[in-house]
Amino acid sequence: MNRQQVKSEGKKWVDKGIIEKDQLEEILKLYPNQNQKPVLLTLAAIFIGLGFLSFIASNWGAIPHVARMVIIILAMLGFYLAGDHVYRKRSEAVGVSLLIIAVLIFGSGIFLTGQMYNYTSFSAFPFFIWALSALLVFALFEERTLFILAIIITTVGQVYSVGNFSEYHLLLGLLFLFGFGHFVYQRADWLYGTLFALSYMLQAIILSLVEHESFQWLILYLLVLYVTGHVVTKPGIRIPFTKLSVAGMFILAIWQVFMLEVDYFKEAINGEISFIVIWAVLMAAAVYLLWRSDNLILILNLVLFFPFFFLEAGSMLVLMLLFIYSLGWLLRGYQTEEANMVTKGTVAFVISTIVAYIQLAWDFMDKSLFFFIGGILLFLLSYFLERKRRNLSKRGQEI
Amino acid sequence: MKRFAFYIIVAAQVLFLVGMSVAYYAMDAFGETIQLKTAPIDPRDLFYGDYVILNYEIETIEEGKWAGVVPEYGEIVYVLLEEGENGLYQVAAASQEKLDPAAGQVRIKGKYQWHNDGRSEHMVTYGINRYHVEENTGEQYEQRRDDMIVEVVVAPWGQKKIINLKLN
Repeated sequence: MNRQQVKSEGKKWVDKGIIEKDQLEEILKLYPNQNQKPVLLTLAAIFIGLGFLSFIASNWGAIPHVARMVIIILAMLGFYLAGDHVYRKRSEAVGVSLLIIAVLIFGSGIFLTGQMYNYTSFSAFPFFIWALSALLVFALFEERTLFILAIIITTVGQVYSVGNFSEYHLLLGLLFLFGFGHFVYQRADWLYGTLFALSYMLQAIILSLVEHESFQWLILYLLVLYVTGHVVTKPGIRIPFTKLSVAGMFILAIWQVFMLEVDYFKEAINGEISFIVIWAVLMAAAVYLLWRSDNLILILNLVLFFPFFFLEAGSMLVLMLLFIYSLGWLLRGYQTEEANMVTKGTVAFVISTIVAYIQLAWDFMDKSLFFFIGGILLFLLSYFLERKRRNLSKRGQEI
Repeated sequence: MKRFAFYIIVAAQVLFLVGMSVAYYAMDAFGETIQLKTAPIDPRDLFYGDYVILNYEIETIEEGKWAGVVPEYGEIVYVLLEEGENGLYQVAAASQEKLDPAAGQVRIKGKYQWHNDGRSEHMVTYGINRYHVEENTGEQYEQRRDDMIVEVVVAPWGQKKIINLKLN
């Protein structure tokens, strides 16, 4: 008998009052979890699946259409049913890998069928169907691997939609927001939160480029992510949402420093009143939330979100924002003697300095001189900052 | 309850694949076959080996045949086709509205692409620009891609598929 069987049998004995729950635990300890087995079994399943796939693929042209459909459907059914069975009776890890293969077969089945029948396609709708199925399978089993799979399918579908049809697929977007958003909120798992935030940011880039045709809206999408992180106070959501949105905004600010000099991007900016209104509302909400949670120092993060690109000297002003942000965290770090904060401020400050140096010196300095002086500057900077940081951590130890 | 939901979800996926297949064969039974002439393709379009890229004459629509407002890129448009003297179908009218086909006309759905200002023409795509062929059998089409007759079936529910390529 293996552990899984003992467990399910034992539950019946407990229910009938033959043994106590503690006794069942003791008995279960006699049957240790055999962890090495699922790894091998998973590999075996993957190998058999791959062999099967490559065999079919190499003979695909010779197989009549109806037989191809039968193969796809039977393979999918087989993996689903086997996955479900193994998951419940034998091993959860192996069961999940079989289910993953089944979901992948469904997706490739859609595209193989479409290709075989020369289906016309206008949109990423097939990806929507695939992503929906993957999400439903995840909802039933609640395994992290299945969540990763489903969110990857959704994100890739959105990228595919832009690449092939130059549009953001609305249905996929709604599925992401409400379908995935639901589980992210309910489970408040840091992994779900991180993946959701990353996918959200990628989709925000797509939306800004394709639908709004100007990068400025990306600032609003990132601000929404930041505010959402503070509205939902669960740490599994708040931490990835706020940290990733600020990191994204930091990169976007650097991008602005360089690109605001380029006419092409400047011309795309429009002074729509809706942008200003939405920005102001979100900003007020963010400040209110920080004030309420007694975290006003975090306003330093919000500095990066200022829409200075409207102004003539936008590039310089955004560069200033980068310095306010970095120096702010650096000083705050010294003040509170928190090494993490100092490190964050140091890294941001060094990056900002490099950006400023490239922006200011690249055009009129001889290139070898540019790198030479830049190197010396960075060297001095790192020496000074490192010494300060060491002093701080030494003092930290003394206390 | 969860078991039940699992079977429903799996069954729905099987049904979707079966449905794709059934719709394909149903098009033969209920659809209308039309013949379309291909147009010269952009020489920068590579030949991909297992599919042929095709352009069509009906993808270019004269301004005079357009009814109503000019759509934006990517918006759905409806085009009425009618049979010319040589058995090939040509554009009769196009619009963003769902035009009613007269006798002998076929309505197909497309997506608006762009307006060619220099030649006063509208460009539209119908999503039938790829024809998958058996691997490595495409060479025979490669040289002649701009001078072929393509047989397309249009189903009453709007689906369409290429059923045959004929060298002219």
